[in-house]
Amino acid sequence: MTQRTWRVAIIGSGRMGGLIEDELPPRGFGMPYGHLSAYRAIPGCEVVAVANRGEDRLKRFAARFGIERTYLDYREMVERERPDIVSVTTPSFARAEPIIHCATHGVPAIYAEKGLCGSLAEADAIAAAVRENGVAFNWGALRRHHDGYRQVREAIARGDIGEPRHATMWFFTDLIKHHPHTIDIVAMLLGDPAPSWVEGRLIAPDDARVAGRARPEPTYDPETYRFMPPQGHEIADPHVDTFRVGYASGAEATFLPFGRFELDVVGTEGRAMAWENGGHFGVRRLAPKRGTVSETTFTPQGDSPTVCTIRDLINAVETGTPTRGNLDVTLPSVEVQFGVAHSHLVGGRRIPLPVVDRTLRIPGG
Amino acid sequence: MVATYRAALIGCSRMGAFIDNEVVGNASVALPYSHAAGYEACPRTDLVAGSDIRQEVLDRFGERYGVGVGHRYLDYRDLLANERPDILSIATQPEQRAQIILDAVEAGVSALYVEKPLCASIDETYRIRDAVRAAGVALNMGTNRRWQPGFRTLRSIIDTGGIGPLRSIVVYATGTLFNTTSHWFDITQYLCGDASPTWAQGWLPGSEHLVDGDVVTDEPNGSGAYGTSTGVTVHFLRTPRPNDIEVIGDHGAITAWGAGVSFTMRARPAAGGGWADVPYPDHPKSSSTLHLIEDLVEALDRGDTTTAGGIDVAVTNAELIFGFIESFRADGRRLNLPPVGSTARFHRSGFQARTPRFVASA
Repeated sequence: MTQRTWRVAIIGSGRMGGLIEDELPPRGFGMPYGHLSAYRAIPGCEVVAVANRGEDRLKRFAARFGIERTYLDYREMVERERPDIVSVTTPSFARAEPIIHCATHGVPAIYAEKGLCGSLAEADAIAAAVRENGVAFNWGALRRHHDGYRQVREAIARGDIGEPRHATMWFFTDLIKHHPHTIDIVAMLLGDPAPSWVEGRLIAPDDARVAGRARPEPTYDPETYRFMPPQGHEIADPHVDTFRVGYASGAEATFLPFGRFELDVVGTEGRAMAWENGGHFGVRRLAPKRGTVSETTFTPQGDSPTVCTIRDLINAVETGTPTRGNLDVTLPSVEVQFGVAHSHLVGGRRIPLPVVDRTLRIPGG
Repeated sequence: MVATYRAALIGCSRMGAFIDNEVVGNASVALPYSHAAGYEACPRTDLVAGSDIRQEVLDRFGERYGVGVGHRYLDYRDLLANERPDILSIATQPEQRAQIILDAVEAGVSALYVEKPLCASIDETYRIRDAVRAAGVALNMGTNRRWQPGFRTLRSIIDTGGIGPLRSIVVYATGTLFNTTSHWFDITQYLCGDASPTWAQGWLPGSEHLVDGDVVTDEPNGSGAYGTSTGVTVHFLRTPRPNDIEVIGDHGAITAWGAGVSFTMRARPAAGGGWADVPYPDHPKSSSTLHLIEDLVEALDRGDTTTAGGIDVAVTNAELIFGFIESFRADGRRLNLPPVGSTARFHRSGFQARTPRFVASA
């Protein structure tokens, strides 16, 4: 049987589009990590074109990676190239429009980076466009596709820790660009229960933890109902202090603003662990009647999370089955993100989800 | 000749006199644990009298600790009038505690060992504080772990820079707000060097129905966080993890497992380098109750009120409890501390005290 060819186009010629490997060790379970290199690792995938609004960056990217067809307007690229898959790797403040355009102009599969968009109203519009057009969709919250985390999830689903009751996530980062990683993986390990409330705070702009950063913290403008980028920047992505999420299952999660991307899920009979950003996966189980403790560790196998994300997308197109990172599991994480901001703006008060107000704008990275 | 102080007990039930029978073999507890057993073990105190509203409990207490019938009181006011104790333990339920403390101070007691939580409202808290300060009474509250050797070692490591500047404490609490989280509030206060809390954000998961207007009608579950004037954030997570406490500094972290059954430490050199396991110093197990009583005895010997606990620590503990409740009543909003305007009060309707275990399990 002849292998099908998948024509791929990338919108955004930046870091996740293809340059992130420059920042990472050349080998390791996460590689290939960027969209371009991951597509090139999958037989049958061909990156045929790239679009970027900045010409210099687009040219450098195309020259470095040998991509012949380049576009300053992604609309033109979609029309001419008729891609099977489009990666949208722009900043989140500029992501909704290309996602919606692709979904409504015949692109069958979209791989969108995170954060998803700049407001919940945009998230609603994305959801409508993707669902109405039957588009296969995956989000760049990669750990959902990481075999180590997947083995931990399977152990939890088997009942190895009893009923999962509480997740603790340790990581200090910004709300829109990077907290999708924490919120999404916590939800995945808990079995994707619907989040029912969130409460939390953003850090103060003068917090010592962000002192000296190249991009200062944004400010909030109540007049325009949006977070404002610092002078000379386009991105307004506030760092987050502690926040908590309650789920319809009765489980809760606490997100603590320190640590090295570590995660515990505590259940009624044991504890699942994903420590040191993929460095250690395990389940520790208590047998109360015997008074014994057993620990099982997991070693990730197979392809990198980015490659798995793409393979999952292809499988969805071929079989019609939902992707693992489809909008039903992605949108609740976006609700949590914006819920944190809403909670912060009312002093940390608990906010029921989904958030009623859809207009607050956070033009994140 | 070394003075021996006259001690008396109001509330002769579990924590007052008989909890030792429940905790035999419990790895986190070193006996003696009850107030009465502590006075019995302390060579500087004589347990001379007791009061309880239940005759059976009072009699079993008297029989166990050799307190004669003539020194057993159903009305604590008679005990205060007749016995004139130097040290008074108050191990009643929290709803009754404030009035008994105030009466004891009025009666001239020099030292108080009061159970936790201190009392049932912020108003009561400040009335107790004012009375105790004005009378110069030494007071320790029964949040014992600050006298537990393992935690004293932990505080010493923090104070000597062993984990770098302290940043965060995470408590995986499983108990209720007044009775149990008061312990975890206190040990975190202690580990933070008793720095003043400046804000609190609390929630009462699964206990939302227990707040009826100003009245908290039964023991709620507590979770949330508070921050200190020194920039430390303390988190209380209600999880099935059994009272583990993680103490995190810039270049070290210590975990107290199971309320201090054991301790582990990881650290990295301040100058940089990798994290590695570090042996936790030996800390011979000994009775926190006995240390707490000895602390009061030493204050009496000196004629001052300085102890490792004290009224200010107890007041802060109550402020944290009611800070969590008031934050909950404000839909989880972060509130500045102290919660001076708090109108919440703890009042359980139809509360039935448990019968203590009068003899140890076989």
